[in-house]
Amino acid sequence: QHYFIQSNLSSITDSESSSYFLPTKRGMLETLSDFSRFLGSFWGVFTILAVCAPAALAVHEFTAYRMNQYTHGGIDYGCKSNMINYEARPADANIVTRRVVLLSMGEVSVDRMRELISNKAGSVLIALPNNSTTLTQEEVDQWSEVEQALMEQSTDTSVYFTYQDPELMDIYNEVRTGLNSDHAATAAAALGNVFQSNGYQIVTYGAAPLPAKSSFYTIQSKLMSQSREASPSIAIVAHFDSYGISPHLATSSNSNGSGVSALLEIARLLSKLYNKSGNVPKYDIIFLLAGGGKLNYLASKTWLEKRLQSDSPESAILNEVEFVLCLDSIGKDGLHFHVSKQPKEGTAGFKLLSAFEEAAALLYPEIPIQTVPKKVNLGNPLFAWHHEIFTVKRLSAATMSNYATHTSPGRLSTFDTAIQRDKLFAHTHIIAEGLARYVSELSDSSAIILNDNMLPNKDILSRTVDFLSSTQRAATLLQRDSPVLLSLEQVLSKYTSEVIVSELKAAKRDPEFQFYDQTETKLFAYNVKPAVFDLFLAIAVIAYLATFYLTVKSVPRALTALYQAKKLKSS
Amino acid sequence: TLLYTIKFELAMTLFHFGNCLALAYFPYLIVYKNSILSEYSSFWPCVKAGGIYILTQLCKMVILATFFPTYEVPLGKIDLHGELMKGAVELFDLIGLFLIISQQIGRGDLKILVAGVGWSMAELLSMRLLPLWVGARGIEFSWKYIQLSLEANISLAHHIVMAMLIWLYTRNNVEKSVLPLIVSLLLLSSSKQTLLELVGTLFHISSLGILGLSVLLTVLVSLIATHLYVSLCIQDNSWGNPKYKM
Repeated sequence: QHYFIQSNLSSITDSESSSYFLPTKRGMLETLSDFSRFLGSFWGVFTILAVCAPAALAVHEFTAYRMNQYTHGGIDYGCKSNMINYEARPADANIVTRRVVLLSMGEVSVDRMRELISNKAGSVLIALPNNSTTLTQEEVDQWSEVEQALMEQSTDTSVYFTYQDPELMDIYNEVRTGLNSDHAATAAAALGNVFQSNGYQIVTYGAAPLPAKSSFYTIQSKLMSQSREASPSIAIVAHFDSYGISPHLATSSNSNGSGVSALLEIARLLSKLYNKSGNVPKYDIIFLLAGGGKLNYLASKTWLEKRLQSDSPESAILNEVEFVLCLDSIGKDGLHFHVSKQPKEGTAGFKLLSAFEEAAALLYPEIPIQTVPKKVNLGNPLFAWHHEIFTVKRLSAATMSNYATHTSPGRLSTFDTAIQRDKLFAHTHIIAEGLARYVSELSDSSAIILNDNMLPNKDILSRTVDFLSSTQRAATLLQRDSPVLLSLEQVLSKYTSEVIVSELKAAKRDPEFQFYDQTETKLFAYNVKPAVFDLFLAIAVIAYLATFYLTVKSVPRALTALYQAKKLKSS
Repeated sequence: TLLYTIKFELAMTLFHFGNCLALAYFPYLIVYKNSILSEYSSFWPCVKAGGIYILTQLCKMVILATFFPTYEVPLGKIDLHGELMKGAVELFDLIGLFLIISQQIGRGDLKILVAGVGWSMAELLSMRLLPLWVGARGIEFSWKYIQLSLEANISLAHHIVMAMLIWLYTRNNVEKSVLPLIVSLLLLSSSKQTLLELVGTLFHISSLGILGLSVLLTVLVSLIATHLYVSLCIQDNSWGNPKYKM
């Protein structure tokens, strides 16, 4: 027996010396390939089934909207890139290159945004509140400043906006309070951070932005007088497109949802006046709804230029135009008559202004109308008001607006979401009555022309504004079959005639305006571990394997000891 | 530098896959190379054992599909009937292991090791390799891949123990009194997976906890089995060759 055990031990040491710990690389690969060849084809089906079973990865998927991008007159504006495949960082991060900075709306300031862009941040993702009505006017104005700063240049940083949803805000909070080695106090804490911390990688799979179809649309129509000879006419103009820091975030209720609603309601009332038997006014009324109001009124400008070409058949429409009245934001408090120069007595402008003042005095004496003259600044490529397009072509024109200056932040705001409905009603009433008086040439200045069934309807105005606010109207996204165009065409057709929708395509070569696609995309937030995590994991795995190896080696000794103990006990 | 960073990121995701693969696979290699398996060039017997594993799984799937069609169970609730049936079908594993052991000629401990290592290796390659390849290389990190690799380790020990118990059962000089113990341990082992799932759902234990319970159970069973094995060897007087872990 003694010999037996001896030979045990020698055999153990023999096997120890004959074996080696790690096989050669080739041996391992051989084994693997043999196994996989044998099992792969046969077993593959079942394993694929097992894998395809819904094992939900905790990937958060959400929709994000890219900031505006367009080229105007050869200069790029907005963000040129949509690339995002970066690790998320909080607002106060120092290193931002090849990172995406997560910001909530409150953390965004003009200085910080400029800093991020000049530091070449990979991407910026801003989470906007779902309910914009909770924002104070101050916050909205501050945000408008940020928007303007963002749009004043083109950046390679892709800027995205998204709505705050619970999962995204969880990720945002984790990133914000995230542990990273920058902040760890001790080495041990840093080590703990490596294993605990959750990083997030935000990725898009969208292609790079390409130039998109760039067209503007205008809708014109006419309310005709009965007379056979050429009638004088007056034009009422409003732009219907919307503005937002991203086309999908655009609402523009006041500028110019209110103007369009007013124009449609005025069309309805005046058509009633024109259909009434008796003194039908001898004026024609031209209605013009133009896209591109937020892009320097390019639609109306091109429309006008085409009409003024003496050899074009459409030029007839403007032959007898005495005055062009533009409506731009009349849904809030205040009524201003913006002109390029103060109207002189005897001119059409003076006549119209007087008509408005009379109407206001009769209907709403508490609402004053302020005349605001402002010379056209020919040095500035951007027009201040819509009427300036017409003024530079020697047509008398004015813009009615509740805003006192053209630089009011409310005219160009993503959060232009609410109007004062009673103000819109009052202003529409005044303008409609004033126009009625202008075209009617009445003798008794105390009589109200639009009465009984020709009064404006508050409900109709409200519903139209609501419809416009909730319909996609951004100039960059409009197509010929967009719901807003079809609806406007339909409504005008009901009350007026000769409704024509014109499409103004951007020139193929050297276009004045170019839009781009990839305005909306799906983003994925992946949970990732820091790079050193795998390193530490590898160390842990090696330690485990070493322990395992030692255990396996010591098993024979342990079993032999157990055997001997049991044998002694039993004998 | 962009190319460098892209290559680096690709390498990092492969690194995690490599970690998990090493954790799962190297223990098998260590056992193979440091036991009599390598002495007796048991590669093909192990492969054959793996083949029997596949056949057994196929049979189980066919039976489950034919006789026990699945239906939707709301999350959190336990489909007792279905789980019992699944547990019953697991007994086929015992038949499979028995086939492997009875088919071999040679020393007892070699048979046990071939059965245990071959069986669990086949399980590793079929059930765990593809999920690792697909998932561990992805951008999204999840602890479950490390968990999967640890399960492969437990499975190795577990199947060696089961093979040992089955071998003991087949020996005709085993004491009659311990036979019921062996049978009950075998039943417990074969249905370990089902049992743990049930307990996990009932008591809302995290997956890490279930892993811990699995380790505990395997260790317990292996201790008892080893004792029985050594006792048998004393009776046999066949302690002629070095034994290896469980």
